Amino acid sequence: MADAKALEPLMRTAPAKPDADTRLLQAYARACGRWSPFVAPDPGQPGDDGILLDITGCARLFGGEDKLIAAALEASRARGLTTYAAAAPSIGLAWGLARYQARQSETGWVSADRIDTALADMPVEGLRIGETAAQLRRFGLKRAGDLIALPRASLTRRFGAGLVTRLDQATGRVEESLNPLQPLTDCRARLRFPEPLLLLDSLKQCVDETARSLCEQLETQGLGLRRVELNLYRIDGKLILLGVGTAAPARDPAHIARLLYEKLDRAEIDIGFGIDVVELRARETAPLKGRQAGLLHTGEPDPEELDQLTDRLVVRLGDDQVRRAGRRESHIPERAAGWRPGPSLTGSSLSGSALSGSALSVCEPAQTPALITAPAPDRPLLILARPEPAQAVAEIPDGPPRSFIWRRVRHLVHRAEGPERLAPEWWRDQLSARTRDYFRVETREGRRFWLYREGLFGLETRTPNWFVHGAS
Amino acid sequence: MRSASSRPDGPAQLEKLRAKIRDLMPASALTMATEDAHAPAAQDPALAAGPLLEVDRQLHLGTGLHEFCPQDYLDTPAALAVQSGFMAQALRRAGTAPPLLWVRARNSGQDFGQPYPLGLQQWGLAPERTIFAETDSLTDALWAMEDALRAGAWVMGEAGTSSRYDLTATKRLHMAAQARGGLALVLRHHDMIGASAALTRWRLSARPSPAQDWRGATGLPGLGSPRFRAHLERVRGGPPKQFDIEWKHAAFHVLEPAPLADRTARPEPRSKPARQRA
Repeated sequence: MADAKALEPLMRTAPAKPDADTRLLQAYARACGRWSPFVAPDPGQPGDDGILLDITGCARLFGGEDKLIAAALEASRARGLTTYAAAAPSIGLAWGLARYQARQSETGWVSADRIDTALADMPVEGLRIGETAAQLRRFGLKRAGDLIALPRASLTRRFGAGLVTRLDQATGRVEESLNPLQPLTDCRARLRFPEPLLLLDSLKQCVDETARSLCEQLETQGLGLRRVELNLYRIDGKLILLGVGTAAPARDPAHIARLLYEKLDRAEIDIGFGIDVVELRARETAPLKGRQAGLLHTGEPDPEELDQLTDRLVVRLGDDQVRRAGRRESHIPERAAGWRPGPSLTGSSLSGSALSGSALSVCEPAQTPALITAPAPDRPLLILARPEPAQAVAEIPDGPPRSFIWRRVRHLVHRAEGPERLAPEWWRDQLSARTRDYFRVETREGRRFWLYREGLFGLETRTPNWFVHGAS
Repeated sequence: MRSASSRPDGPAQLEKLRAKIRDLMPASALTMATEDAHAPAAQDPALAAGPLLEVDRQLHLGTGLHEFCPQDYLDTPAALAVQSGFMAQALRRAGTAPPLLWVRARNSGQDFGQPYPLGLQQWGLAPERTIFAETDSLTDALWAMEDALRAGAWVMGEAGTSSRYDLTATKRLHMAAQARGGLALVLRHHDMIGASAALTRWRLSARPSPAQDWRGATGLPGLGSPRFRAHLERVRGGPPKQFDIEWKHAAFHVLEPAPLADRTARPEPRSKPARQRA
C-alpha cells in the first residue's frame, strides 16, 4: 500500500465490502431477468464477479445471440459497470471466454462447431481450475487447447480429476446445469388433507394453524401483513377466496385468525362436498419492526391495539363503513370536509405519544395537528348528506330568513349571522350551480340551523330557493 | 437459572420494577410524567368518586356509560352538541388522547345528518382522532361500541329507536367502559326510555343564546354562545338536578342564577324529578 501511494499520491482507497458486493450482484442478476428467465449470480474472486444466463431460445427475441450480447453489455455499461460478455454452448467455455478473451477482443457468440478453436486460444486460467493453472503454466501449458491433445490418464494422475472434469465441462462433453435464482415468492402457508373438511369449525382450526406458520415466516423477514388472502380449494375444483386487509402491518396470528373467523362467519361460504386444501397467502406486506413496551404505564391505549380494533370494525362493518375525517381544498362545505375510508389511525404523524400533550380544544388552533390548518369558519355539528329544501320568508335581496318551514315544522328565527357567500366552483363542470348564501340562525327556542339561499336575487334567479344544510 | 426462577411471576416482577423506577425518579420528572399522562380517569380519585362532578362551575362526567336524550325530536342536534361538548371536556381532562369512535346506526330515526368534521372541531373534538362508523343495524353498532371501549377508545354512540338497546346492552357497555377507564356517551331517542345501566341520563333542550350587542344579519341580533337546559333525570347515588349550561371557551359553564332576561315560554321537562330515586 505504501509503495502504491508513493507511486501514485492521488490514489484513493476504500475498504472492501464483500457483503455489499454480493448484494449488488444478486440485485443485478435479478435485473438480468429481462434477458432470460434462467439467471444465476456467479461470484468468482473478489472483483471478478459474473452473472450466468441461460439464453437458450431467448436470443431470437432480441434478433440473434450477438445482438443479445451487445444489448446486455450496453445496458450494463449504461449503469456504470465494467462488463464483458461471451456466449458459448457450455457454461465452462462461456465463463472462460468472458473473463479472459472478451477483454482483448469481442468474442461474441461461439457456436458449437467453433468450440475447439475457441479453446485453443483460451488461457488455462479460463478453465476454472484455480491453483492448478499455475502448475500447468510451469509445465509450459498456457492454452486450454494444449491440454486437449494430451493423454487424459496422465493429466488425471498429475493434476487430479478436477482438471479433466473442468476440461470436459468446457468442451461440453459433461453436462453442467445452472442453478437459477428463484423468482421472489410471497409468503404462504398451506394445509392439505386426504379427506375433505366439511365443518366450519375445522376450517377455523386450519386458519389458526396456517396463520401461525405464516406469521413465523413473516417474522424471519421482518414483515407484517397488510393484506392477506385465504384460499379454500373445494374438492370439486372450485376456489373460494376471502381477503382481509389490515390498518397497519400486523403479525399477530391470533389477530389475523380472528379477522378471518369473522370473514368466514359472514361470508356464508358454500363448502359443498368439502375442502381439501387451505392456503393462507400474504398478498401485501410491509416492514414491521418489533415495538418496545413502555416501562411506565401511561394509561394510553396501545397503538397496535387500536389498529386491531380498526381492522375488526372494517371486517365486521364493511370496507367503506369505517371512515376517517378528510379535508379537501374547497369552499363548498360538502366537498371541503367529509369522511372517507382511510389508513391507519396510528399512522406516522398521529402516533399516540406525539399527540398526548396536544390540546383537544378549539381555543388553541396553533396546537391542533396538520389536518386543519386554516382557521375554521363556523360550521354546524351535523350536516345533511344532501341539503333539504325549505320554505323561507326573507328580505329581498339578501336578508336572513325571518322564518322557515322545514320538514313541515315552522321555525321562527330570532338570531342570525350571515350571509357567508360561497361562489360555485366554475372549474368544475356544474354549469347549473349557483351562488350560496349561508346563514347561521337560531330559532326562538334556541335551536340552531344552517341554511342557505341558492342563487343571487336578480343576477342569477328571480326566485331563490332555500335549503337546510346542517343543524346545531 | 435466574431467568427460569423469575419467569413465573413476570408481570408481578415488571410491576415491582415500575414501582422502583417511580421511587428512583426525581420528583419533578415524576410530576411531569403524571401530568402528561394525567392518570387515566379510573385512577383519579375525584373522578372515581361519583358519576358527576361539579368543579369550578363546570360539569364533568365520571367513567362509564352516560345517556343523553333530547327533550323533543327537534332538540336532537342540541343533545348531540352537548354530548360532543361533554366528550371534549372529558378527553381534555383525561390528558391522554384516546381515539374516539362515533358510531351511528342507519335508520336510527334521528336523522339530522352526519357529524361534520369541521363542526366537530368547534365542539372541541379532534376530527383526526375520530373514527366514524355507520352500521346497518343497532346490533352491529352495539358490538362496535363495546369492542372499541375494550380496546381503549372512547365512544360517541347514537342508539336510535331500536329496542335492542336494553338493560343487558347498557350493562355490557358500562362495564366495558369502566374496565379501561373510558367514557361512552350514547344518544337515545326522545321517547324511547327503557331500563338502563347508565350512570346518568340527561334530558337536553336548546335555550336561546344571549343576544349579541352587534347585529348579525340585517336586523337580527347575532348568535351568542350556545346555551342548553340540561336536566339530569337519572343519576346513580344522587338526586335529579337541573342546570342551565353555556358552551364557552371550549367548556360547559353552569349559569347561576338562571338568566331572567330574554325569557321565552318553554314547557317544563316532561318527567318530573323524582326525589325518592336513589
